[in-house]
Amino acid sequence: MTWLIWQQQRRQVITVAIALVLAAVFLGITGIFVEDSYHTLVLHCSGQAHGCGSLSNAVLWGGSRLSDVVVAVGFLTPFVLGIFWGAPLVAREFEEGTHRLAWTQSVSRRRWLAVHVAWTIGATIALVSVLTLLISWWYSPINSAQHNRLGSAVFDSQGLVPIGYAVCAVALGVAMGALLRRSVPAMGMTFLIMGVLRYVTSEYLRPHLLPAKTILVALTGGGPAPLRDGWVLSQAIVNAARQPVPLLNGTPAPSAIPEVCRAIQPGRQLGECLDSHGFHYLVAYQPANHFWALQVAETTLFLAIGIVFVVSTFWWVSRRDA
Amino acid sequence: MSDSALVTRGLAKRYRDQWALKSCSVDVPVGCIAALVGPNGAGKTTLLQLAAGLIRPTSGEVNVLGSAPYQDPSWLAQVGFLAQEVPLYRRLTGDQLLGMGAHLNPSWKEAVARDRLESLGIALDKNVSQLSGGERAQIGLAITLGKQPRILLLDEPVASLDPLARRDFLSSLTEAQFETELTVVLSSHLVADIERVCDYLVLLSHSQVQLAGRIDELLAAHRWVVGPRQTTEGGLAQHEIINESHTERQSTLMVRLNGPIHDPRWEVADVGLEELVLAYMGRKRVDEMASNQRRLSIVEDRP
Amino acid sequence: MIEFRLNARSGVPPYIQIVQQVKHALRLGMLEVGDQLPPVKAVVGQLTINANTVLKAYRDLEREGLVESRSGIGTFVLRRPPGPSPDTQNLLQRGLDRWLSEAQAAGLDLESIEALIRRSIYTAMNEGVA
Repeated sequence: MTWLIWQQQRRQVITVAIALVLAAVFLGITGIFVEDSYHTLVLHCSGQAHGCGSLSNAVLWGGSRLSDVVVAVGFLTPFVLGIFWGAPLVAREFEEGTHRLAWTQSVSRRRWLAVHVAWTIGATIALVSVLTLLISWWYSPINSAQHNRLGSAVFDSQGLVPIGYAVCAVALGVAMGALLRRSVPAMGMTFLIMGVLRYVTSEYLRPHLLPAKTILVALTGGGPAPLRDGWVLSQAIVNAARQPVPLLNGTPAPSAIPEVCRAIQPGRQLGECLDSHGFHYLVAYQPANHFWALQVAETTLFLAIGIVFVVSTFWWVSRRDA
Repeated sequence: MSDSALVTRGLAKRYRDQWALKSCSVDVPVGCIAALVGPNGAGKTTLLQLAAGLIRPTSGEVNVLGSAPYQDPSWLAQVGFLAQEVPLYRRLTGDQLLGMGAHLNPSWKEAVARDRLESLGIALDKNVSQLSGGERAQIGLAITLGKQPRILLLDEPVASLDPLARRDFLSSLTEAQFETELTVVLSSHLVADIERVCDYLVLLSHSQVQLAGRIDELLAAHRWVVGPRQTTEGGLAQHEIINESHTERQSTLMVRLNGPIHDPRWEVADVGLEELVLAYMGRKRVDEMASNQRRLSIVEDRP
Repeated sequence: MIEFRLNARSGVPPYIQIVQQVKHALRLGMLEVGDQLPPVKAVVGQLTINANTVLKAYRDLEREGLVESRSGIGTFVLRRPPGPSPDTQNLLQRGLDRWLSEAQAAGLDLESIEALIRRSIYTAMNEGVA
């Protein structure tokens, strides 16, 4: 059956391979310039007074548009694969009626589906791995400049998660195709559901995939280094006994702060007053070195969801009427 | 008693609130070429798809070559199915489709399929989408035959073939039946073909089996009976009346015999296959009819 | 070897046509004792008919003692069908000619005559059945 899949997909595989090579060339060339820029700027700013703070925009040759494009490619690839590789896999068989040909040869539906899904997901993993490696390499100077890889767009297109997203999207596409039996509705549902999954995960789940660290920070002055590189999840004012201070219209409630400070207007002076009474910010954050652990956790999550989609597909394909 | 190639017992299939097939019971012996006859929408395609394992029964059971249609590769290898619309992968060529047959069927015999297509002059290097309906049908049939199945389930296989191609395909079937004890169930509207080629008949109408059995036995069991106009059964009470019409002076009935006809008033003649098929297809639904103790009814006169 | 021909519209079942054509060939000398009847496979392919039809015809002929089937080899003619002597046949033929002129004199056209003849033949054939 592998032979048959190759006969049917030959043209597409070659097209995608060429596109990947072109993308590699593009990223390669622009990436070298980005790297060059970075090294030049680092040499330049190391000697300066404020050190090398936030360099990112200055680093980019061609302006920030280029990094937007790269991030967009990384972001969209899983969706595109889910829609164009996943959704039509089973749906097209139903639309053209060829399932009545394929499933009356001498292979069971399960085996037919297994081989198709295996090759599709295998190709997905291969493609996205290469692409992600290229993007991660391209982005590394910017990561060094920004020190922060946990920001949403950056996190989503590097490391491992793109592979998890892509596998999940393709599995979702195949499942929608098997359920709805029409390519276009399957494509639409894939886009929609994948969008929801990505949004819910990055907004609500990602902060909690690993237990956050907490740190007490002085109310005045800048944040300590771990916070600069990390991802701040929440911050609350606590008193000397580490109890949270409720806020009233965005400022600490008078009942919770010492009398002495109650009269002071919110601002630097209030901060200094509270500071002298042992008040701090209690900050919950994910430190930068959680990057890989968070990547693995989120990838695993999406792979698990993908497995659920694949199992559902097998159920629908083998149990429902052809 | 030979084995059964296709047995159904009370087989029924419902789609939402419509019954496509109701309480179907047939027994096609191995080595028969069975005709599946009936008006469109009578359930022929449903029956064939149930036998092929593409759809599952709502109730009742179906057994093909001794086991229930399931996705067991060794069972699938023995059953050949060709859908009415002859679905082929449009962007593949004939060669590639034969390759598919070879890769997906362990019992594939390339020569059977390829020689057939080459002798018909069908271009195997063109995309299937560029071929005519008849040529696509031939490719579909060749793929089905190449797999060397023990039973063939064909949904109107010759509908899009010219008379010569039709004759040629049916010859392949009759030769294969003789050489390999192949069983064929094919749906068809062409009674002339059925008379020559088929030895078993399943007649579906209103989603039910109206008639099923070996053709020679069915023809032996039915008679045209003609005689003077009657108002009583006239000695035919014990037989089942399939069809009747009356003029002022004459009654013509088709009966299913339940013993000999002794009454000398009746003139008895053989029934042809086409007449038999038409009579049963035109019959009211079986469940609307009374038992075979029927009285003759008065129908309007014929000119 | 003879070739069969089927008349789909004659109303006569195919296997009977085959039996009749064999007997006809035997009477006319186109088939002689010891000749082989066309193999079933060839008949099936050439006429596009069910193998069981041919087998039934050959079995009927075998039952009548006209042919013998040797498994693996084929079916061979044993003897010619019994029939009356040529003289008796001529007598019967003349009797039939007389009846025909009577019928025509009585005003029957050829079609009506044919209908009468068919009816008698049918009644005779069905004598054991109806």
